[in-house]
Amino acid sequence: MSLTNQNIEQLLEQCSLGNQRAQMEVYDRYYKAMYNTAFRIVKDSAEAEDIMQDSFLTAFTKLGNLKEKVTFGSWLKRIVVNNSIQHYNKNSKYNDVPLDDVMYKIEDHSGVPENYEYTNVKAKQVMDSMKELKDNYRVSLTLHLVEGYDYEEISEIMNISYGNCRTTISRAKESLRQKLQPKAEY
Amino acid sequence: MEEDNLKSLFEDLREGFDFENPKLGHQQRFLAKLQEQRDGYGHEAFNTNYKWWKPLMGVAASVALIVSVLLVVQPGSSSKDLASVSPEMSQTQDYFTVAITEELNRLESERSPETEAMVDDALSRMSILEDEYEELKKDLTESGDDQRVIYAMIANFQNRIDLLKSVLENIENVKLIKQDSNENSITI
Repeated sequence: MSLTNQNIEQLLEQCSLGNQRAQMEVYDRYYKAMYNTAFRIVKDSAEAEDIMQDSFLTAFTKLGNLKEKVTFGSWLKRIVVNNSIQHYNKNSKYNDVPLDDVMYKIEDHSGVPENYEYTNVKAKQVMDSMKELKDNYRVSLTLHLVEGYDYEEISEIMNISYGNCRTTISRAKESLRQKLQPKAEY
Repeated sequence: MEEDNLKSLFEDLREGFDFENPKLGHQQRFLAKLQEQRDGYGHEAFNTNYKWWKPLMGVAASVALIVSVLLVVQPGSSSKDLASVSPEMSQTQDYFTVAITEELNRLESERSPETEAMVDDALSRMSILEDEYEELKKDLTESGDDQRVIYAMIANFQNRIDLLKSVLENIENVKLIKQDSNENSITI
């Protein structure tokens, strides 16, 4: 019996019984998306991996709370987002600027590895522009445009008022547009 | 760029945004975390189900500790020895231990400024073999009187005797050479 062909409901049933192979199978299916979600918010590979894996562990122990098993993906993503934001809030208090970030800004991005697919190249350029934004612009815009949350959800996730959220996102969009402008002209 | 442009740009690129990858070995690290969590939860469930046990557990733990300390303090009772396998083996062990003590005493009596280095070297090599023997004793308990472990123990005894014998022989040789050369120097 192979786990790879099973649908997510069956797999989750096994997971809640503590089947480790089923848990690893679920991990394999979702880790990449979840890692990227965390990475876009915390910008650190090791931290993102920790957040992603801990979120899986939380999800597995709280599977009973999830009524509609088909929504597992978005439910898991919400756990990842919440954990990442928590981490982001903790870190933004210190507001340190690692040397890597500074060096990143003066790097030349025109040379792109050839083996990247075209959409990846564009996506990477867009993400690079996102990284140049202020932290709260970057996070709110990521949640809005990449993860697809609406204003209400974002204001709840980031613990800011609805109006504040709208303003931040619209300013962030403006700022991103300015960054993308020169790149779009090529 | 128009408002809609930005949104549709992200729509188009949505699939491409997940281009980062966690560092190699992340699956193993996750598996380790899973295992750790499962063990942790096992304990938690145990504690919540049997809360009334908790005070008794403390008493039981201290009793177990005292018993184990007593066992360790009493020499020989904590792990098996060659003698515990069979009466024949007990005889063998007795023979070897007597022989080894004798040889060791002889070695000690040979200690002099000239032979100091050789004796010390022999003793350090003996202690290595003794450590090996202690390991074998543990193996014997774990393996349940495995024949190979018994042979290894006998071989260990034999090695110790061989070692002592060869050192004593060497010491004799050195003494002979000294005597000879002394006589030579006198005669010449």
